[in-house]
Amino acid sequence: MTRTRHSSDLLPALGFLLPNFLGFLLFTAGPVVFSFGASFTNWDLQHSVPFAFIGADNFRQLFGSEEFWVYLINTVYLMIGLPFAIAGSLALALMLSQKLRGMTVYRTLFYLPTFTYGVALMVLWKKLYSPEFGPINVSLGAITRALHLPFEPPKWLQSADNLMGMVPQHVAFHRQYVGLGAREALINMSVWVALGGNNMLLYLAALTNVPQELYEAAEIDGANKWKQFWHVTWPQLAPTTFFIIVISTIFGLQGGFEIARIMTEGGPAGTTTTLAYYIYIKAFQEFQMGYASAIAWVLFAMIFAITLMNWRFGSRAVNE
Amino acid sequence: MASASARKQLAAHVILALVALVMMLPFIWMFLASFKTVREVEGSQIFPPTWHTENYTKVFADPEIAKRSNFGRYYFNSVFVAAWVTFLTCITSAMAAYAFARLRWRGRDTVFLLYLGTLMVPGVVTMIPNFALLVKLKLLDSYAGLIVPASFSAFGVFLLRQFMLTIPTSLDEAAAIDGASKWRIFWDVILPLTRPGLIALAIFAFIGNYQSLFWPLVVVKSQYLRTWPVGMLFFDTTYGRETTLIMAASVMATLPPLILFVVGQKFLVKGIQLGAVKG
Amino acid sequence: MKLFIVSTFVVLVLLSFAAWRTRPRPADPSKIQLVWSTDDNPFRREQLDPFNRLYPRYHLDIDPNNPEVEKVIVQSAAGVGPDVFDCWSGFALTAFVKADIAWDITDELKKMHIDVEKETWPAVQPTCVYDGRVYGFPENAAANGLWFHKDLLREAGVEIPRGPWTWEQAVPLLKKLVKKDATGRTIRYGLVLDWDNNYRQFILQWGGHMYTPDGTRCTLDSPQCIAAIEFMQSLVQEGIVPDMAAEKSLATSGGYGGTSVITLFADKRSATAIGGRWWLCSMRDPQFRDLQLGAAEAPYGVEHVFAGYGKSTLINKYSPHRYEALAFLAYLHGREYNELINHEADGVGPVMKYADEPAFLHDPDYPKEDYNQIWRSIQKAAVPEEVSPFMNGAVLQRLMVGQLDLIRGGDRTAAEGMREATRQVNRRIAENLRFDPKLREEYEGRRSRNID
Repeated sequence: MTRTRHSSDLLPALGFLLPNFLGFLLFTAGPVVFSFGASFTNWDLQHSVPFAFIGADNFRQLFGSEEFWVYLINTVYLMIGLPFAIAGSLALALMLSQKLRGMTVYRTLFYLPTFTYGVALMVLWKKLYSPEFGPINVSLGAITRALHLPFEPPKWLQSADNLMGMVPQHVAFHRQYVGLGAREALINMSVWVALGGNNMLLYLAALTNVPQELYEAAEIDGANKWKQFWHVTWPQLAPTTFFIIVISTIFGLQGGFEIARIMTEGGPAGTTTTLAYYIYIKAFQEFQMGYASAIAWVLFAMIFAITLMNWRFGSRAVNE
Repeated sequence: MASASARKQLAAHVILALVALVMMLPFIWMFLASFKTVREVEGSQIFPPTWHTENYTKVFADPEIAKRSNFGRYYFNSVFVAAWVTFLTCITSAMAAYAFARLRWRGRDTVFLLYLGTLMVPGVVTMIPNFALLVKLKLLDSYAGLIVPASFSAFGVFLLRQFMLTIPTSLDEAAAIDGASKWRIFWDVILPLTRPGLIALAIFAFIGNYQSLFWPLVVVKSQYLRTWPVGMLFFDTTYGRETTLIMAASVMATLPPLILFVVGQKFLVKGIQLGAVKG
Repeated sequence: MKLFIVSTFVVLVLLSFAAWRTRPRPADPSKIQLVWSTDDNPFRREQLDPFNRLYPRYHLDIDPNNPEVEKVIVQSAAGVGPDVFDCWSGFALTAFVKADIAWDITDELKKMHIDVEKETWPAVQPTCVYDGRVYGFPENAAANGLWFHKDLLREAGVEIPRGPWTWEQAVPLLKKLVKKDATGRTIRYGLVLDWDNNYRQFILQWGGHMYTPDGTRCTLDSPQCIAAIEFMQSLVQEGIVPDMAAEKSLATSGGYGGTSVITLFADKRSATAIGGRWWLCSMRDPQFRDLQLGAAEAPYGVEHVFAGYGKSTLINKYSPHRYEALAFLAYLHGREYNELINHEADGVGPVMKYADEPAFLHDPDYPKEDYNQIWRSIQKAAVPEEVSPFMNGAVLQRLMVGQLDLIRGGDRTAAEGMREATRQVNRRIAENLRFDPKLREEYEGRRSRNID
């Protein structure tokens, strides 16, 4: 038990932190604090109203607007692919960490979507999802015809339908809207991009740090592959999994911006508008910087709460 | 025995090849589109009827385009800026991560949560204060304006902290007993063991910066400082999009991160001999 | 590892040195440097060259802008905006004026003997004239007519009148142009149009308006507006116009502002299309050389009007070179620029009189283009966009497109959608007033004047 004896490393810690901390303070923390202040003002890039602190007015208006809740639900709904993406990238990483020939090539190919220019990705997916000629619907149509199913192929990106029957532009449900639509199309697409992307790379990196001796010891104990995974690999990957979950939650809740801007313009009927895109619209189309900051900080509060929960839960898993 | 493992290997290859094919689709599409005409891109044929290699030469050498843009310089700028950002990010993040993961001091986790917290504020609302700051610092329209603000990443600190947490504490303690300073421990013990994390971070930082559009667009005014995503706006106009030239320019743009990835991932998966360091 | 880090550092320093050595020499210091924030493309470059030649005291360069306005806003909020910048809509102008970025040049232009309101096309004036004050000069003007493929019309034995004609006349003709394959699937449509940008024209033609004349209330739910949208829908139901799913899946790689419709039309997926003269900027490309293009007036409904649009150049109020930048506006007003725009077919040149010259009708470089008098007459019949000081035009567009999506997707009837849009817009107007006492004052003033 060496843990009891240590003294504080405050001074060297300061030294190590300093280069990053200075830049962080200036370029990150400063603007963030500024935006926090802005969320309590009527800062508007357009109106001739004098700049003033208006207390929690922005927040009150925000919570009272149906738009906000609709977009919040959109944002959360679009994240339902995350667990699949994370599990899938772990599976891929496990496969790719085997000592087989040609692994370098596979790893590079899997990572290709991350290199590919965003516009190319989106044009291709639009083609894949095309209701009439797209390969997805053509094959779906062939299957349903062969099985004589009374099922019309979905219109994907042009449809406001969804699996939960959410009514566009309202916080409500209706049977009419049950189906596959733009949001499911985007969920598929994001899982696909994420599979071979950064998470896979992180898992690959983490797998190389698992000491080989642990596997050898487990093998001597007669553990099969499955047991080895749960008793050796999985605990060793815990800090990485924790990182991936936290970061995916953070970026997921802030996500959907690029796709909305380039691919769907937030439509049809606002069904692919996420909070991040909404903030952008408020700030740069409607010029209400104060209001946009308020949304951003509500989003922050939610992410922070989720991360704290992750943290408590995760630290236990990581440290013990 | 041998045939069973061979069969297993074959199965693995089949699965991997199938996944790889699905993953490659957009890149293949982009590659083929870069040899088509705009009309053919909209059409349904997969391969271009004739391979229009001139899309590539057009990006650089078409007299109309070359007079007004300089894609060679844009590519250089992108690589140059991204390389600096990557370098600085890795160094500063590794040092800060060391302080958060391996040193013990009061308030450590609170400060770290603050770091993490800043990741949670969407960038859209910090853009104006950030830009105003650059104006104050007189960094506008310069390489420094592109490099410096992007070089201090809370993301990188978090990532490397997580990697450093997996290194057994016995290593630091052994080195400390040998009388090594904190700096020596960081530099000689921890940093080499964080290599996979560092390489992953380097790849993320490079690609993220290499593809970014908005910040360079706002910060840079002079043509010789433009990066390739900004240069690409030249083909994406109010009169329509020159999809084929965009694709040709993007195919060429894939090369630098691809090289980095191919080289980087080799070192990424090369197992680290913990035992060797211990001794 | 240490060696790698150190050598990387050395390489980076060497690269920095190279980058520093190869920077271009600073521009001619004897010239006044001006920056124009606009979309950077070959046309725009061609448009600034004559300025630099005609005004040797200045050197104007382009700072590329993205299609949205946030770049100018972010830069201007920090006090370092461009000298001159583009303004695309009446609403954008009010935003620039209220944000105190646009410079009021009414008196300056008077001194230069330039009269924007008398000399330029009325359709584009909302982008530079606000509340009787002038903030810039138009760059071009546009209005939408009907493009068609001559050969396809000939093939179907359809003759389209050049002059005014109605949708009632047009529908049977357009129907004849639809071509189906053996399985009954449409392989060529009769007409394509970009809904999001053309619903305004239909509303105007059916006698509807966006707002009440005083701008205090949205009137998109009027019977005229609903009838206009219902008519647009009937074009889809009759199979003349592709439905939303078909349209979006036919053109996947288009740019913004409805340019995907250009590709659809130029690829002969449709015999006709509603679009502007500026489409030629794309359709003159060598790959479309074989097209036999014709243009006619777009059909009209109840009223013979067309929705006009265009863009202007504004001057940054805080630019140190704002007085020098006036030279650029003088250039936009001059013969070289207007003739260049007419020649490039980037819409129609901003000053009306140049379109009346014989050179406009018959450009010797483009002998096949025999339809320029059509564009001129449409431009003359084009009306400016409606602007309300109480409503953000970009928001109205977003709310309206949201409803159009639902209407086109069959989730809502035209009447339901338009009522919902109106309800949302009016609620937004009320919200806008809540935080702005000055705006509220003006609003009440206008309301009470109407009641009297």
